[in-house]
Amino acid sequence: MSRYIIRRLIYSVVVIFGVSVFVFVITHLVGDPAAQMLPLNSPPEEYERIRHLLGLDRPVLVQLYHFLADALKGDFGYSFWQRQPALPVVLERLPATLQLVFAAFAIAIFVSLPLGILASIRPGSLLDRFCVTISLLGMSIPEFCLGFILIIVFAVQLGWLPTSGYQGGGLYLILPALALSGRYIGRLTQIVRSSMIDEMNKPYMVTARAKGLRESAVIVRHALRNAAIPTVTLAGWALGRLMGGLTVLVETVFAWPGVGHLAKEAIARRDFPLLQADVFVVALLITSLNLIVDILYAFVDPRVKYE
Amino acid sequence: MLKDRLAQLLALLVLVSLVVTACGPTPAPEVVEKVVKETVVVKEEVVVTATPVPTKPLVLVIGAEPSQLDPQARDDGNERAINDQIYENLLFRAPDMSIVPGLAEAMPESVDETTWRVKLRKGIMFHNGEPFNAEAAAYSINRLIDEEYNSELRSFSGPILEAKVVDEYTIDIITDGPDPIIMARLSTFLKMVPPKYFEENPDDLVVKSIGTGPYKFVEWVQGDHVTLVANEDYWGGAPEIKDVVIRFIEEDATRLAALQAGEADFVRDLLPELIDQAPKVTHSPGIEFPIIRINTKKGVLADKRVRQALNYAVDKEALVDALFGTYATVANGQISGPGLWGYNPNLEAYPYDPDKARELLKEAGAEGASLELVAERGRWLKDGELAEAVAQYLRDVGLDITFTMLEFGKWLDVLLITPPENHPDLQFSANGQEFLDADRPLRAYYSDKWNKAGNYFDPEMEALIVAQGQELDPEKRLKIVHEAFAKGREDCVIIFLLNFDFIYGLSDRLEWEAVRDGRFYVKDMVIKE
Repeated sequence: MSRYIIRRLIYSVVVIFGVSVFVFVITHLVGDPAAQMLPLNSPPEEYERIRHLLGLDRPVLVQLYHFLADALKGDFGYSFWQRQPALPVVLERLPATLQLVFAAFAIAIFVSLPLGILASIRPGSLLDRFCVTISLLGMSIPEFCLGFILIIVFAVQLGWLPTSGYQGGGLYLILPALALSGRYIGRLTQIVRSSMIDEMNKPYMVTARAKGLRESAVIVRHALRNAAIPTVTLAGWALGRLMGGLTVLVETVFAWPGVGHLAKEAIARRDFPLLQADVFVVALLITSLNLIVDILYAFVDPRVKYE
Repeated sequence: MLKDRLAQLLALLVLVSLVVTACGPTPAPEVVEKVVKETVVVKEEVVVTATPVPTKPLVLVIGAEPSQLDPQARDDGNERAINDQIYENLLFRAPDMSIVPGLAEAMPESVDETTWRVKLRKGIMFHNGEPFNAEAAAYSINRLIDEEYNSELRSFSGPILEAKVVDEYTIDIITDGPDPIIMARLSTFLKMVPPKYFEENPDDLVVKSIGTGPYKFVEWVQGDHVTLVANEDYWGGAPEIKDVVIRFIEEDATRLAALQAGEADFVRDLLPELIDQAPKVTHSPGIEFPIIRINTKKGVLADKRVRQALNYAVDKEALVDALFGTYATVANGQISGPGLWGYNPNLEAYPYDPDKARELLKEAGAEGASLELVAERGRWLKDGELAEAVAQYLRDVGLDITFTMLEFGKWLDVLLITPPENHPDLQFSANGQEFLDADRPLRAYYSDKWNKAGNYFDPEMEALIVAQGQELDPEKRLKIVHEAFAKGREDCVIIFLLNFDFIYGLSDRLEWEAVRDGRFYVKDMVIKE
């Protein structure tokens, strides 16, 4: 078991390292931060001066070496744009993203479990059709679109909730989390529904019913437990996707100060240190998450241990 | 048993999510009504009208967050939005854009061609108690110019060499050769900073701010907003609006939503098509001039007739109406407009005449010529749409236009880093006149000697540019600039387009008029509840 964990750990480190180097080389070959930093139409000497000051006129491999050497010590350099150490800037924005991600995840689970179960009780029924429609809507409406709709309806027209901003969470978290959760509600509902239908058709269910159990007990104690396996798989996928994926769109629409939005700014401004720090933190989170899910699997499925 | 475990794990995961969510810090408390007692100061016989203090803070929304608050390091729109309330310059711009004394007692006087003497106002203090005096003023200027300090604004200082203290309230500014735009420089970006605080806290400047201005910095919640409070000891009189919040919302639609929902009082960069949806709107012609840079040295473009054809081919009036909803003005054959120093009122825009364009192209043997137009999207209002429209107009007169849309960083590289011999045939760009003066546009696009964006060179024009840069007599200088602009129109150094307005959305309770340089000062705003 420990050999399995160690192997997965090494794999995670390799991934983080690989991602960082890849991003580093690509951005350095393609972008020029100096041009971004100066007022348009500045004389050419100014660009050279800034480039030299930032060490950007050295060969890419030399810069890569220095970056890695410093990064191993936890020093990701100074953000060009913010003129502060880069890593703390990213870490400061991290709680906001985590709040959003976990809130969206919680909403997705809380909505898709009942929806999926209800849908599976009588496949083909009106209830089923209704739940599937909701799930399809969730998957089809892009999160930024959903975000705007929510803002217009709940913030502008009804005035129940704020339009945007952070303020530490609370009421401000509701609309962005809802917007972000849509896609995952869609997916998870589908999975819960189809897993449940599969289980309900299995022979042991006949036994369960024959035992005289109430239908609700049959559903929950037997079918749901087995259907949970693929659900957890997808839940893990959802959490990972939330962390690194289209969350940035919701962060932008709602002016939510998270790491996704920060990465977008860093890319636009060619702020290499900030981008590297951001990529590192997000990669670390996602690989950790995957690591946890993989370890969970080892507990769930004994066959995995012997791979 | 394992299935139990699994269910438990799932439950745990969900529980953890809930806990993490719930454990966020509590939202900020609502602003509570304050009861303010006004004390009338009798000794100066000033009648203080007791204006009711607004209870809700003034909320201003801008499109992006400043990177840091050192006003001398960078002065983009976002830094400005905040620093303009906290810091001040030696000279101010009045709402009509004339330059008037600010922290200086009077306009600078020319001691000789390269020395300007500035007398400072007395009795002004920085927010931390440091006095504003000659030492502070000289320090502020020298700091910005210092190469080691690495300000991005350094090139704006032009020929300023140093500032010297003459006595406690007088400084001398030394320039390398005559500097006709020194007044504009002193009014625009050379903000006065407290020497002791800045020296002792070089890292703190990134997040804090201490100036002489009407508002004091309170806090900056990264990514969300900055809070300011009125400076009751402000030398110009305590401002009436006491609490100010400046929020950052990148998405245009969300900014507008904040205005509509009553969360915001002021929204910058409102899109022309959204004007009807804002409670109130104010606008003003701005300082941005979108243009198409022509590579005047390449192929058919070296022929003046072809460049003129390009100018005849574009229907600028239609662009103003269709893209900007009339919130723009056609540029009259120059990178300047009424109200900007150097504007030549005798020049007219090239009229829209596609037949004439085709004729000129035929004459020059450039019918159906293939040209590439490089553009970017998102940095200026309607930049992408403008470039696409121009490409279409050019196609309509028979040219074969290849349209390339680049990401902003890449576009910037092509504009400024790529050697001029590799410049594309045509490139969309915009020229912003931060100084409201013709000097920078002339050097940017009417010559290729001063920065890589220009792609035209003519010895006569060059002589004019150099001459206007050294002529201290405003009337003589104006004549030289008029000549340069006239020649630029004749030679068609670029495709002249338009000048778009700055548009702001306001709430019903806010009263304020937009001004030309696109800056805003809360001290000029009035709340009518």
